[in-house]
Amino acid sequence: MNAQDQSPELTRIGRAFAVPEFHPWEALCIRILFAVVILQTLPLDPMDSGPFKWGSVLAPAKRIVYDAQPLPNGLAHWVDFTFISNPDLQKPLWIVSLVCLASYVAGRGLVLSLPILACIGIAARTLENSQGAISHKYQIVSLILLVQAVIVVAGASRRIFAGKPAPPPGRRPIDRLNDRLIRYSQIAIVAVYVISGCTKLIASEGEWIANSPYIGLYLVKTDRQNYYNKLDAENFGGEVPVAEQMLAHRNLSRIFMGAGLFLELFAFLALYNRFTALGIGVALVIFHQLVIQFMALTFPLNEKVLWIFLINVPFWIGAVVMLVKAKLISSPGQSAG
Amino acid sequence: MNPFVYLKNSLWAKAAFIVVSVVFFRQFPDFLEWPIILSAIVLAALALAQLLFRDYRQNTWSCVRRSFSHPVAFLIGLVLLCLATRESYPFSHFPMYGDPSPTSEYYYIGSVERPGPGGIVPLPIQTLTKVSSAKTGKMFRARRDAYCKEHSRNREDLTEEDYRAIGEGLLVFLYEKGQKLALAPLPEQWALLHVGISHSSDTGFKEETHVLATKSFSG
Repeated sequence: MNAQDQSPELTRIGRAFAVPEFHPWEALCIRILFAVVILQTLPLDPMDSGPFKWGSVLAPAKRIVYDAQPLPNGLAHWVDFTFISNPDLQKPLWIVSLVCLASYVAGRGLVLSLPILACIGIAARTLENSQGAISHKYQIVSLILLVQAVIVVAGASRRIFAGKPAPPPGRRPIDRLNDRLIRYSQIAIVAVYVISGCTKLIASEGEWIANSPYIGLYLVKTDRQNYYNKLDAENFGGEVPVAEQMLAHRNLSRIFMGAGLFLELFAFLALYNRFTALGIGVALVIFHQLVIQFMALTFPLNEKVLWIFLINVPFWIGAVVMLVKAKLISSPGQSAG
Repeated sequence: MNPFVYLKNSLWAKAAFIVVSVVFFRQFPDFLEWPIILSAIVLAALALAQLLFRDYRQNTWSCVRRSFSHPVAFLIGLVLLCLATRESYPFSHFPMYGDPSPTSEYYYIGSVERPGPGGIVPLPIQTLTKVSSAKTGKMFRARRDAYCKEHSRNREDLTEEDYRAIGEGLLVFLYEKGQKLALAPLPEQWALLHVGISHSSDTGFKEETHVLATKSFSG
């Protein structure tokens, strides 16, 4: 029995899920776009005057104002995060955040800037979630930041405690780090969907698809909640035809809802190659758009990170440009002209 | 052939063992609980190493060790961590819509204008307090669970008095938030209402409302 006994197909699949190579320009585009998303999630009041006036355009997430943690969540069981509400902290927080974001975009000093950004985001949203109502709006960005911080800190610790290994030939260490940061961010994103799918199977004891037409009741619930927010009788509070249809045509509902569940469970296939990343990224964006249409539930940050890390528009623009260039060069008519 | 070596080398045998273990564990959860769980975990780790590395049969343990630093292992670890830690920011198991059932419920806040069931007028709670109606419901449920934990009670054993106490606490929180924000004049007497939603093919959707708690803030 030798090494060739192992099915090459299986190991090829294993390699496909490993860390791929990303072009330095592609990595830079991803870092710039994600830096904008991070800025939009930081608990900073937009500055309407002074040198940071442009901040009002980029940072819609406002300062969090809570002076207590009545129902602590996560780290709030041990740490009092109410300090983040302190208005005196706003200016230093702005400066630290901007320096860290600049460091992130430049790809330098990540071992400091990423943990700081992760800590600010996690502290602010943990405080918000410790008021009794848990929101998942910012969760995906905090998780990506945490994963990126763990990657850079683990890499730095390995270098310090295990001695600096000789860099493998071919690729610059900074590019290899970028490859890992992007790949593990993609993992954090798909994990969010896989977890959601697994929870559905566990909580319903495997009967989620069978019971999925009852989501119609949740559509009514969401409609009523939206009505009671502002007593908006123009858009909410009346008949909910989709909910009626879901319960009237249960098998059709099961097909549609089942497709959504399978999309969540198999979201990890996005890691296989760039085509599956594009396909699953687009499918998940469509999935979010359908949720907005039917339930008026928005997850804008989830959609943004899907566009940045899975759909990855800069890569596809570059790929199309290179393909067109290659065609033009190889075309005899063009070269004659 | 040695059955252990066969199990180590055959991916199908490992997959079959894991599936049989899960079925067995569900049927007889107390019988050989830990040996079965540990065997299934070890076999799952071996299966992952076999899937990822070509030299698995020659260097099995080296492949298992290497597989722990593979992105797929990180994905599996992150999924398990989130499922285990549940709602613990930034981790979550995303329980929303996890178990669709034939009934649902929501909560809203009203102003008591006059005595009697028809005397409560809904309040635009987000306009007054910046807390949405959905968040109001989440807050009520979180407070109810905390109350149960604090008083060592089951949710099913809570009385109307308990619900009134929990509801009043939430009304005070919302009123104080509205006062702090001062976005609009606040009414003096607030009520927390619960609405149960059910569906039958004959009557369609049915919504039943009842008052959980009222709180006066005059004086």
